[in-house]
Amino acid sequence: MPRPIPVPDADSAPFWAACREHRLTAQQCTTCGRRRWPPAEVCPHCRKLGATWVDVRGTGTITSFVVQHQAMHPAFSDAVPYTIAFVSLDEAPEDLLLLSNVIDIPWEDVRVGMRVEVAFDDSTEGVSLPLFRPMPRERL
Amino acid sequence: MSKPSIADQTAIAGVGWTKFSKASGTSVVSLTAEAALNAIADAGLEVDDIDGILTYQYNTVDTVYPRDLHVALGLKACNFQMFDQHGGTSACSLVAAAAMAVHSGLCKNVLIYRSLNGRSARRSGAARLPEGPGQWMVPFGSTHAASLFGPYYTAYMARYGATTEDLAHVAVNTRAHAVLNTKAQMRTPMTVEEHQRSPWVIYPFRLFDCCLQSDGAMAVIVTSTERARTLRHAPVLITAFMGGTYPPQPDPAWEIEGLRAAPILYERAGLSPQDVDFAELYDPFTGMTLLHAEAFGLAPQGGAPELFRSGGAGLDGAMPINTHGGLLSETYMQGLNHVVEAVQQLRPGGVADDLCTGTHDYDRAHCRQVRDPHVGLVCGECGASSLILRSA
Repeated sequence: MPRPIPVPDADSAPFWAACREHRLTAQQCTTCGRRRWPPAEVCPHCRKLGATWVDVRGTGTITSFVVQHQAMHPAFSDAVPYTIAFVSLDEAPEDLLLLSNVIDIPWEDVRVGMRVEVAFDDSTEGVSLPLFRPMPRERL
Repeated sequence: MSKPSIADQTAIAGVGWTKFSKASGTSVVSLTAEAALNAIADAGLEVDDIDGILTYQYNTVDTVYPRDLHVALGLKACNFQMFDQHGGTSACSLVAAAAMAVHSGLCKNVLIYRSLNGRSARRSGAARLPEGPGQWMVPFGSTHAASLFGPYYTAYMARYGATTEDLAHVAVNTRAHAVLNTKAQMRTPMTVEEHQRSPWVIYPFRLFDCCLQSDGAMAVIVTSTERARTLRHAPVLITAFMGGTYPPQPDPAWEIEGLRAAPILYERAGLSPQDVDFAELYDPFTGMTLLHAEAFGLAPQGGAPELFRSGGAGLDGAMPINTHGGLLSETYMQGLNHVVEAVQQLRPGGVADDLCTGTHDYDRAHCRQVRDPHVGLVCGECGASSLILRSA
């Protein structure tokens, strides 16, 4: 069964389009300047409309995670065990908390506080998924 | 803030349920009607006394609507209905809504139900579509509640040095109570070793950390305290309630909503955690029981594992928790079973469905009644909703 592909909407289409170019992006409020996640018209901080899309480096810290041992969706039956982590991005750790997968590391070695960087995965037709892998010094 | 005028002015007068199973062999509307009739009879009301109907579910359409029960029971009137989609927060929220509907004078007797063939037909925790909020989860293989709530406990372990073995003591404690509950689905005692041998489902949760999936129905009836005093059972007073939401996008510190909401609940009740005699805490996964216990001040921050490990959460402990067996071992009625258990514990005659044959004697070979409780706490998902109930 093929992996489910994200369905972009008016708020999220620029994010997924940038992923196709292997750029990780986030909205920045045109009024208060804070980044926000997930994409939306209204800023949850100053409650004003309007944002520009800006690139972020794609580095961050794992704030927490789980490890999926039993597949709950048939498209992931060959993927278990896999790690689902929440990554706080360095530009705005309080505001940009992304759910993703951690790759290139055994699940037993994943830790809260681990430093990670984005790695785009093109293995599913039609989407580039922003996954994360440990930064080089974490892999030692 | 002083105690609001609604405090203690409404009460839970009736509770009812069906058999809980893996396959009811019955339609959801029939389960609903059976639980409703049992609750109405328990209260000592007539069917036509019901004039409000509230229910809830989460994502999957697994229940029937209030209008379906209206038709099934041939009710004469329904002045207020609600169909809530907030799952584990809804049981307490709907008791709050019922209390407000009664206190306003709009309704006299409001019936709340949760009804589903959640094991045999529409199973809970089914995958969502990769659109809307699901576009940020489903493509990454996050399709189950355990991957939403598991991170709270992973972060807790990192903060306090807790372990997944701490979860075993929650599962074992909860199961021990279900053993004494004739309506519970899981009545074989569990050991810590058996818990530790159960397979990973979604780390940090093993199989025995996860709640059941169930077929069945439950109902409770909210009325005015004044009216309840004329009915079959002594009223169980609704002293205070909260009915909030919890943010679907968690904060980086992994703090649950109950940390903010619990102090408001206690203030509205004019009580403190020290006044609570027992607690029925939402437990879709063992780790959430621990977080809820701390949010409501039943254990110090980082101290809930010790409360369970030491036996403090047992029926004779300092703070009996999930005296029915919870979602983990009684049944998955999505928190309405927690309300029903609190009502039973607070009635003068105590719980009606343990193994005692006469009056409660507190022999834990057959009795699950807590000793002389006056104040019970119930909390929903993340502590966003909650109740303080009192004996009259």
